Amino acid sequence: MSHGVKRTREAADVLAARREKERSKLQAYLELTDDVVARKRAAVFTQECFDLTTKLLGLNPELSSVWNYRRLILLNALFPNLSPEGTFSLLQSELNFTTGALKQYPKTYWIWNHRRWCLAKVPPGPEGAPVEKSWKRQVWARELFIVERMLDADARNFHAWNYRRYVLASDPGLRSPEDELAYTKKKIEASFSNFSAWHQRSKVYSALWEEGVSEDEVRQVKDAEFELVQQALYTDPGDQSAWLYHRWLIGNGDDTAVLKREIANIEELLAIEPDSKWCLESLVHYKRLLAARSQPDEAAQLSDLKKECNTMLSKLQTIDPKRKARYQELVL
Amino acid sequence: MDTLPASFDVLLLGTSLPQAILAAALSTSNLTVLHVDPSPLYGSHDSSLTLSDLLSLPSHPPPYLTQLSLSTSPTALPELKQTSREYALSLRPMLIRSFSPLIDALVGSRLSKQCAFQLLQGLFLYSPASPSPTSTSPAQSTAPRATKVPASKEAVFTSPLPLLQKRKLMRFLLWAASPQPLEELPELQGREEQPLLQFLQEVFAMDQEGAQALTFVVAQRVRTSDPALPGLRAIRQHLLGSGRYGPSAYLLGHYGGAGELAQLFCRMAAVRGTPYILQHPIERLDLPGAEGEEVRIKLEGIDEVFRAKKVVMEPSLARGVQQPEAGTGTVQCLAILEETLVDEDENFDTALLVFPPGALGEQGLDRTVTCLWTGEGSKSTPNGRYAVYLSTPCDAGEEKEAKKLLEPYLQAFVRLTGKPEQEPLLAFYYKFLGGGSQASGEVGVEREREGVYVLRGLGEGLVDGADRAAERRGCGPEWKIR
Amino acid sequence: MDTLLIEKHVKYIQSLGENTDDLMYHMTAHLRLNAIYWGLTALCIMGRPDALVKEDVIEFVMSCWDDDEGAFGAHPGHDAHILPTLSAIQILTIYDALDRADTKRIVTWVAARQNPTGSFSGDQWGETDTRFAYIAVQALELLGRLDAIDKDKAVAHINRCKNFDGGFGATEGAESHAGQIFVCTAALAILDRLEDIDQPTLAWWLAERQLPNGGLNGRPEKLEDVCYSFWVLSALSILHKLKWIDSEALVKFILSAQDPDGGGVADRPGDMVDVFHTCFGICGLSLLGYPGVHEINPIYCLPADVTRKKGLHMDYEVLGKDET
Repeated sequence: MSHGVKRTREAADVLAARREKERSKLQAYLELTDDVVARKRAAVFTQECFDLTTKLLGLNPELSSVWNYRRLILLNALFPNLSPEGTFSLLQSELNFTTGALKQYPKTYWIWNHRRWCLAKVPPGPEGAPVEKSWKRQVWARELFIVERMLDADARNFHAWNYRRYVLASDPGLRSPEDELAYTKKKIEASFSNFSAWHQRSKVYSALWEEGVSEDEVRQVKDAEFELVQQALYTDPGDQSAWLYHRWLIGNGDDTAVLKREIANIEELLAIEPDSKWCLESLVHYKRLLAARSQPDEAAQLSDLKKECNTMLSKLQTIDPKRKARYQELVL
Repeated sequence: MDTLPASFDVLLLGTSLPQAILAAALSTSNLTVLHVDPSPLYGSHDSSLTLSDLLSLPSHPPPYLTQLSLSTSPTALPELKQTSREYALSLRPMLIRSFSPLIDALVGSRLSKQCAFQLLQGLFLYSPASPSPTSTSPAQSTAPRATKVPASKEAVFTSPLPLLQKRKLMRFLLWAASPQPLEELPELQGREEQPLLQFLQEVFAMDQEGAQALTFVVAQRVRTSDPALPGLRAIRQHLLGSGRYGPSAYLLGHYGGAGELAQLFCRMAAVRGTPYILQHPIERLDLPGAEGEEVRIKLEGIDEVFRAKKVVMEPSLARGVQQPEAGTGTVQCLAILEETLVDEDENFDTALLVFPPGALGEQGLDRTVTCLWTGEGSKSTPNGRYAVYLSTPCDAGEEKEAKKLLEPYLQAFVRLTGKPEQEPLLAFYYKFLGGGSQASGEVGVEREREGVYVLRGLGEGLVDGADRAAERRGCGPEWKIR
Repeated sequence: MDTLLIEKHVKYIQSLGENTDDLMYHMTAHLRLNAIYWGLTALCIMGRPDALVKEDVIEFVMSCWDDDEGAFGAHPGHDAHILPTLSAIQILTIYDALDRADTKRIVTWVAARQNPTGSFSGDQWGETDTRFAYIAVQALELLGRLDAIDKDKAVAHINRCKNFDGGFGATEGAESHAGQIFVCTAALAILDRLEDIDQPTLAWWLAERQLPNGGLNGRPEKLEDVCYSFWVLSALSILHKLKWIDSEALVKFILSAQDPDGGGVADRPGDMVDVFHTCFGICGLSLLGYPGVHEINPIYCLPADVTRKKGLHMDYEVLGKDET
């Protein structure tokens, strides 16, 4: 699978020349691969085999079988002869090896997997040390540091975000939810098109609220979040990320006071951006939520809401013709 | 010098950044080049100076400086001398746009791998004491203040501007950054010559402060009357650069900037075989009087007389040709301070503040004064010390001396810093001759006469010097030096 | 490029096995079995199932069998993994040659990948991902042994990977991604649990993947890519909402990503082609009712005649199919 690699056409002679140049490289690669596969098949577990896997994975980290073999060598030949300190130090060098590989291949699943496996194998220790000084804490803190560098390089790398959630779940003492909220805010401020950061923010809050927080407190937090997201909506009303997060904050619209307030806010934005697709799209959605929650004695209001939605839907058909069929379907 | 031939195609006199870039470009041509600078430092007037270099300037000033006035705080002098080598100062500081010909030249020549830069950490607009009654800014206050100017999507998002102003500003920025040529945008039709300030207020409904921020800080215009089209071009360039190397549209070279880069380009030319002769004053320079004659140069301490078919000179070294007019150039102040602008959570190590025209009322000027400062982050001062550069273009017929013009601005800046009562450790005022890009229009190299070229008008702003320097790259043929 | 260059693409796919003196060929050995499945599927959709030599392909598939494990590796000598195992089963299904494999052992192996939480791992080493849940479900369905796993637990796990935007991520807590949405939607379709999806929200999110140039992205504020054509489209097709995007613009975008000289389709116009994007580009065109290509069943990403013959789920939408 190649992504974003520009197409170049090699003339026949250029192609032949490249292949000629690559021939010895190819030969060496195939010999190494055959050698490693043969040793693996024969279940040979030695330091020499281990070093060969280092070499081969350095050339091609996509070879999951070779990562498997590497782990078998660690389990069968290397760990058994080591003290906990020795195991820890070997695992650290293993982690360093994958850090190097990730820099080059930040989206290769197998490298991330191997890292997780290594972390699970870190022995407790050193003996008698408090949690803050334990090896586990040391490695998890380092993992967090590395994954943040990865997210500096590509703020949307979902491997890195998934891994981040795994690190945070593995050592809850490492970062408080407040710290994580500050981190997502920093990422959002660097680019609020970064939906991955908004998503993570929604997950942190959801987890916090599941632990049991008063409704008042939730509402207060949400009000501050509405304030934040509104800054983004006004800065760029065409950016989906902020609108999606806004939709999460509204949820199913049970808090009709908030729902009405937000509808009014978006209508204010619509007044200065009358052709904003996302203003209209969101208003339709929120007004439909409001309509679904209207009381039996509010028939007039309900009919107004329907009318307003239909007007906006017909406008949406013109300004966003790619999704015309959807708007047509939504007309009541 | 035995190995040097006596005759060359081109003689380059002076090693300022434009000359250095020209040298690097010519070194790939088939022409033979000799590069000479009487000074011991690379960079001519772009050189990076230590503090001792600076202190010794008034005793024998170079021909491009006049109206020199240098004062130091007596208590600070020993410290300044002791840490002299930790300073890399510039007589004409230069900002590099992240999207510019100079960056292209640096990246294209791979020299960018050999130098380091500091991102400009903030752009500020100076707002005078009493806010105008039309201002809708939330931070209304009677004290003068420096307002951070947001000029990217992210900066607008996090700025304290009111929502509606955010929307207006973003709408303008998106318009300015649209891929269509500016000339074709309907909003600009017929308004190309209108003052930018007025254009922004009329067409994009900006308030006074917003329009000033865009005109004088983002577009770096100098006068209230500066027209819309060139200003919008500058804004577009700003937007293209913002985000390219980080959250700022400007870079500042480490170790003094231009001097360091000039040295890099010269070294590149030297590696490719261009001979260099530095630190030998010019004993005699004979320019050709008639067609077909050669240039001859005799340097002190070298017996041989070198000949060349053509010569490219910096104005200050150009003997026998017209010197720049007294009214062209820039008025400058270089001060060393202990503290600059500080924010709640940020210490702005390297940033730019712009005083708009009329900012200081009666005491001030009707054109902008820029105030750039560089700190430890740009490797140009020791920890806790900042080099502050005030600058404004010369005005023809100006009577006041450099110190008289800029001292009120330095004082105004000091009052905004985290240490408003501080006395500058050093303040050096001077007039730098020979800018004047606006007067001479298209700048570059002027052909004085057959075989003789002089570098002229390399800009009066902080950025145009850098841009124009780089536009000289690869222009051997365009100059018809052949 | 306003037409599908079928002949070029057939030649391109046929040539893929011939580059054995190219380093890149060997560096992608870990995708070999998947690549054959992508190539074969694309050929079937282009109406040229015989463009590869059936016996050779089956023989190669069987050479990837990992007899220690009882499942397939991506290449001879590679360890078994659930990804190539599905490719092997799909290829054998297309060729009606499942009897060549030890399906009993495969069923045992695949079922053993289910974890107590209901999620699935890719192999004995334990990585979990909703892709593996889909693979297990489809593989067992093709082998007629969906009863071998705990279906309710599998559904529950997929539901735990659901987000407020209606989409699904790779694991619990993960951001919605068009690829994961395809696998989760299709898995729920096979498990007859489509009612668990918040269909209006998901279809809306999917429709918003289309960008002004007609291409589809996989997540908000990301670039378009031909492979999402299929992942977004397959989910929309299963939800019967294909009309919620501009199919004409998308057809144009996919066609523009073809290599007019060497054949094959790239991630976007002007980029290097590969068999993965070639397959998903062509499958996307099939769902969009592009004339002259055969029907793909988006639930299994297999030719519709194959799934019809096996009596598998056929409830999905193809543009232009029912209207004429």
